[in-house]
Amino acid sequence: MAEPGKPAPRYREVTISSIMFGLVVGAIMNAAITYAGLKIGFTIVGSAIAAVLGFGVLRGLLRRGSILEVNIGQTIASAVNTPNSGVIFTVPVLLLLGFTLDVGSADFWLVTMACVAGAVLGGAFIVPLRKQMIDIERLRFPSATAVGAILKSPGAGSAKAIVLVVGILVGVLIAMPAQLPGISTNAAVDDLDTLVESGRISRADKLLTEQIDGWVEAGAAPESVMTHGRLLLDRDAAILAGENHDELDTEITIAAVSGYAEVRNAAAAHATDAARLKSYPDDLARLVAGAVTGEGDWEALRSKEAGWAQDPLLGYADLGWRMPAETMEGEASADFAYDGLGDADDPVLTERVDRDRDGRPDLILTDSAFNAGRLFGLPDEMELLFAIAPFALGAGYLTGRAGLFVLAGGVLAYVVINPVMHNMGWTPPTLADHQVPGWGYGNVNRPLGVGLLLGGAMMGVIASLPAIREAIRAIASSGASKVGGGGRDELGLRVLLVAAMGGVIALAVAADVVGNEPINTTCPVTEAQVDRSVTTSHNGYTVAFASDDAKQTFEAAAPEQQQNFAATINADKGGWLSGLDPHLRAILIALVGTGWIWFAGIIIAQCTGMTDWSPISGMALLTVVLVMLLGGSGAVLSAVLLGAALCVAITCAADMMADLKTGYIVGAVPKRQQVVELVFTGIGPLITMSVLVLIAASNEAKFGVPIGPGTDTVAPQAQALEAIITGVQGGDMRYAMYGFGAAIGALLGLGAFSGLGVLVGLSMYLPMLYISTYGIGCVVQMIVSKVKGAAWAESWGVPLAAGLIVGDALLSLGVNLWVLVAG
Amino acid sequence: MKLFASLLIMIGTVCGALAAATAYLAPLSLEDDRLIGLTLDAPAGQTPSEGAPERDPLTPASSQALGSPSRTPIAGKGAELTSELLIELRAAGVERVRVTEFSFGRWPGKWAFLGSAAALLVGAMMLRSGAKAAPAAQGESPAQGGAEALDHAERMLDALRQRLELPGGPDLHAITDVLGEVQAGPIAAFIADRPALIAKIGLAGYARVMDRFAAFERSVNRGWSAATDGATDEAMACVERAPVLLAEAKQALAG
Repeated sequence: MAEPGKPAPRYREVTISSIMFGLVVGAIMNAAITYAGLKIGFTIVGSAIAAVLGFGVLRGLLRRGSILEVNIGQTIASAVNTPNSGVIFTVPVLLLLGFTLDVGSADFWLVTMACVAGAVLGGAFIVPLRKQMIDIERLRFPSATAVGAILKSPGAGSAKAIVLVVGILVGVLIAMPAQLPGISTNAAVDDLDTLVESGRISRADKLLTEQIDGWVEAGAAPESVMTHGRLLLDRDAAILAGENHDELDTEITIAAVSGYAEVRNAAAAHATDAARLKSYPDDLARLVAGAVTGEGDWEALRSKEAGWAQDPLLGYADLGWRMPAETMEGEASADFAYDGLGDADDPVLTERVDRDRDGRPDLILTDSAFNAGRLFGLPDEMELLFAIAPFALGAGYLTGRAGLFVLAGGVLAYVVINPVMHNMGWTPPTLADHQVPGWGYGNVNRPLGVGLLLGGAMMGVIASLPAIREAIRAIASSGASKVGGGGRDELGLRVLLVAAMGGVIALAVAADVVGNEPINTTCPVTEAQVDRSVTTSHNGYTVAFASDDAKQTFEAAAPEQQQNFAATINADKGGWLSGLDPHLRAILIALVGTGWIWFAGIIIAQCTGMTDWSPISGMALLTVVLVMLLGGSGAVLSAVLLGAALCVAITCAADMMADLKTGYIVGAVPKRQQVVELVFTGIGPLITMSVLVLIAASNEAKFGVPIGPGTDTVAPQAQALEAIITGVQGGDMRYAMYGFGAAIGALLGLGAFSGLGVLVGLSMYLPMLYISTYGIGCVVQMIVSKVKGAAWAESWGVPLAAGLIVGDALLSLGVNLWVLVAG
Repeated sequence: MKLFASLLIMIGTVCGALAAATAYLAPLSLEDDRLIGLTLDAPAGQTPSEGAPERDPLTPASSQALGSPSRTPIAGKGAELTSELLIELRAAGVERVRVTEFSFGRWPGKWAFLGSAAALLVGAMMLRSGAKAAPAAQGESPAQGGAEALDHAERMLDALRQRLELPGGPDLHAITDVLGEVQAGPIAAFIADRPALIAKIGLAGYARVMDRFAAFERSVNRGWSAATDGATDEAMACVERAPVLLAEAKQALAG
């Protein structure tokens, strides 16, 4: 109690320390994870990391942080960090497709504005659903529960703190052999045979490394490789100078063939292995050319980029747990291993046990997964894999019984649908049995799963309307509750409305400006670089030309010829709204996009709340498709702009809800979390976009291309979205499959449990290996509850499960940072 | 009935998903004019070299399997169906191909899908009516457990307040312990009673109760955090506020 005459000390919650901590940690994580995400496709929400750091900094170093202060710190840190995953999934597509982004360009600021608008909209739209999802539905949000367990650990008693630490250690120990092989060093030449024996490198890798070693020792390399490298360097210089390099490209292709032939011939003594050596990296040729001219060092050839074999740290695969050998009886001998054809001493393994034809039974236990299906002899078209992922185990435990529906959906997809399709002859006849799970995932399970998610979520919203109405009514009339002593405990609807309106207006402005820019960078007539001031309108698109002559040629052409020209830039087909005034069309697309953001935010928040997984790529896919249907398949910039806004919005919506769940667990005032999240979340896209253009500029100078293949930052997620965009442009979308999935999802949600469609859809959307590990967690929770009681399972199981999630996340962050720093 | 309804939903889901998987299959038994011009979405048929074992060790098993029949297709993905190609595919015994265009009339699984949808609908309706009928069949207040949990919480908080009024000043350890027990005991029990509560007072009524109950629970959680942090005033304020919010929740439950 306060001493008489002195004001009672305020309980520390939103403080300068917590804000500064959140901003600094969030900004650092955002920048680091943006680079990591572009380089290796790795992103992390980071609430758990921020919570652990918060304890270290606020409580450890500053010795003043309360539980709620650390909670605000992690809320701000994740609000600033989270938007990066939405940006790096979408915006780099523009660079891959030839658009330019730099701080001086209007497009940069428009895309950034759209992302900031998305961040604000995501938060503002989801806040009114807090009561419905957290107070009423009581969704679990496994990671948020884990963060709550971390925050509560100081007061939960030493025994529970120990359980949490044990959970973290167990998580790290389980994940270590799965993740450490991600760190590797240059293999020693003497160790190459051992690495081949353990399956870490192929015989082809060994041959190439031995040749490179010979070149380095001799200070000389084959002439053809050197020529190849010199031509590559010439092309790099031509790109930097903006010169034409078509002729060089042809010469490079020829040089690459002769270079490869010479390298392969040098290993002719090992015919089979040499033939398996299909190519060598371009960087090897570049480095050779550099070393020969003296601009580089021969030792630089001993690097991963040059194709030097890598020696990874120990992992599960090193245990060597393989399929039992199964040889082909009665077959003529054929050695599929390394030392030449027709060696009768080597029995031929069946395809069932040796799919990669390396002459050894395949691994049952790889670094990242345990293949129970192959061990137990399930048909090859079935898949029963378990990811070695403590976070999935922990999330499954925290979800409990409801997670069994996810497991059931996975079983439906991978044990029922795929094998039945294959055995009924519905899969391509060229498909081998073991390829069925992969084919089924991409062509049937995933589209059906996304459809189920949509239908299930829609039915969930309809079924929850009474609860949503009550929740919104409670917010509208809030003021009665004084929890936390801070007045109303929720942000009022008026504030949210203003925030949402601001977001919508910003999005509409960005969509209008971007939507009326030329859609092409190369002229449809001359195929030269366009002059953006020479434009015309075609099928509702603004099309640019290289010159006035080209424009006149286009306009004078017959309609059929015009369409042929337009087809080269995907402007031959207009969208549903092509006939409208361009500004009206852009605003309508922005409004539809906003409505979609609201709905997608609900889906993502529900998925995260129920399982911890969010189908961001599926929602981005649907956004891009939606915008391309409305604006036309040539409206890539608009599609990516709205896709970026949506991705940022839904990640922010899920993060907001997860943070509010953590806040609920520790007794934070929701309004304070909502305010700091909405105020600071706009910083995130700005940081990510700035880092992105910095990386792009650096890549341009170094590699001649801003991002993607051929650079250090291959942007794997953006490449996936690029494939979707080109797929949509090529008519490669299975709309009916999504529709039928939505119908099943809606009907599933019509029963007693409205979230069923979402859960089953999510499980069909995800790869089986994570679902099965997650399922183990669910089953363990049910068994523990049965044996020890629900209270015991909650009291002791939650800190342990939280520890598994945190341990996995910490190790993952550490390993990836190491990879980034060490190159 | 619940078991039957669940079974119906399960069968409906499996059959519906399987039927949906056939949406882009075109049976070659259809007339040519319904097939010509369609685009193949996957390789179709196999070349006559069927049965010849693959002997090339350099070709990975993913494209050709050792000892398996050759997997060279008659027509690849992206090929357009022509009358010549149809003749060749039919001659090779191909019964269906996967195409990029959807047509309801051509869809072989349409009746199975509609039947599955009907099964899902019937199953869902049966579950819903079963859930509504269950409380009436029990003959007593189904949410009794929830109400008892709230009473229990009230008694625990009263006892805590009395203990805190004793001389010697507030005992933060006592607050942490008791609020921890309230979290693990009555609060968890009340939440576990959710299905019965919804059955009794409907989703809108449950939402009204939970609005107040959640405010109470947050107050308990906040009090626990404050007591752990040594923030005596905040902890005491929460201990004072929680019973008020609990009373509001009880009032909402009473209707």
